[in-house]
Amino acid sequence: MWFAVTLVVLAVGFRQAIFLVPTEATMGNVQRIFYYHLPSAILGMVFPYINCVASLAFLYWRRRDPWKALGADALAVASAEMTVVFVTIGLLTGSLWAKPAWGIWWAWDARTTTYLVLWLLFVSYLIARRFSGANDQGHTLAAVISIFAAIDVPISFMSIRWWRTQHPSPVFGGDGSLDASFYPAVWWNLAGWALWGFLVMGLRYALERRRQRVQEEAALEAIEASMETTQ
Amino acid sequence: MTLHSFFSLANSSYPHNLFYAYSAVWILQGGYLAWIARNWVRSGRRHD
Repeated sequence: MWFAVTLVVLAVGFRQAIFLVPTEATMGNVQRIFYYHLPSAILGMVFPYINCVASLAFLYWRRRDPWKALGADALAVASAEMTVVFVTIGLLTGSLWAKPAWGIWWAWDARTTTYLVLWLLFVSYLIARRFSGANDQGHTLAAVISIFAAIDVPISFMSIRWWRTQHPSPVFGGDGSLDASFYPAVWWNLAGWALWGFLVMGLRYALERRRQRVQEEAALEAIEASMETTQ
Repeated sequence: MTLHSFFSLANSSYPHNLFYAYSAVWILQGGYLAWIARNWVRSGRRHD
C-alpha cells in the first residue's frame, strides 16, 4: 500500500516537474533538475539524524540490553545506507546542474565541500562496519563516526547562510526566493522521495533484523554442536 | 516542456543533463531497492 502511494506521488511529482510547472526564465528546461536535486539534498540531511539517534541508542544499550542494541544497530545501518544514496544523488544531480548553470562541474565552496565531507563520513561509517564483520568494536567505532557526521549536517545546512558560496542562497525565503508557481513540483517530489526513503529504510531494517536472527541461530547451533561433541 | 525535449534540450550546451540527472536518481534508488530485495530472497533461503 505504502509502495503504491509512493509511486503515485512520485508519478505526480514527475509530471509536475517535467510537464506542468513553467520553464525557468534564465536557465531554461535544465533547471528542472532542481526538482529531483532538492528532495535528495534535503533528505540526505534528515537520515543522518535517524542514524545518530539509533547510534546513540546502540551505544547506550550495547551493555545493558543487547537485543535492543541490535535493533538500534539495524536502524543505524539502514539509515546510513539511505543517507549515502540520497547524498550521492544530491552530489551527482548538483554537478549535472552546475555545469550548464555555473559553467563548472564542481566548486569547492562551503556547501559542496561540507556535503562531500558528509558523504565521506557515511562511506567511512559503512566501511568501518563492513570490515569489522559482527565485531562489536567495529559497530561501536561506526556509531562514534555517526556522531561526527551529525555535527557536519547543521554546518552544511547553514553554510549558504553563514558564508558567501557559489551554491545559491536558500530558495525558500531570503533573496533567492522561488516563485510560487514552482512549488507544486517541489512539494510533490519532496513528499514522494520522503515516502520512498522511509519505505526503503524500513525494508533495509527488516532485512538487517532477519540477518541478525540467522546469525544468532547459527551461533546457537554451533554452541549446541560443540556441546554434543564434548559430551 | 515536451517529452522530446526531456531527452534532448536542443538549445542547451549540455542537452542530455536533465535526462542524465533523472536517470541517475532512478538507477541509484531502484538499484538499492533491488539489492535489498535480492538479499531478502537469499537470506530467506538460508533461513529455511
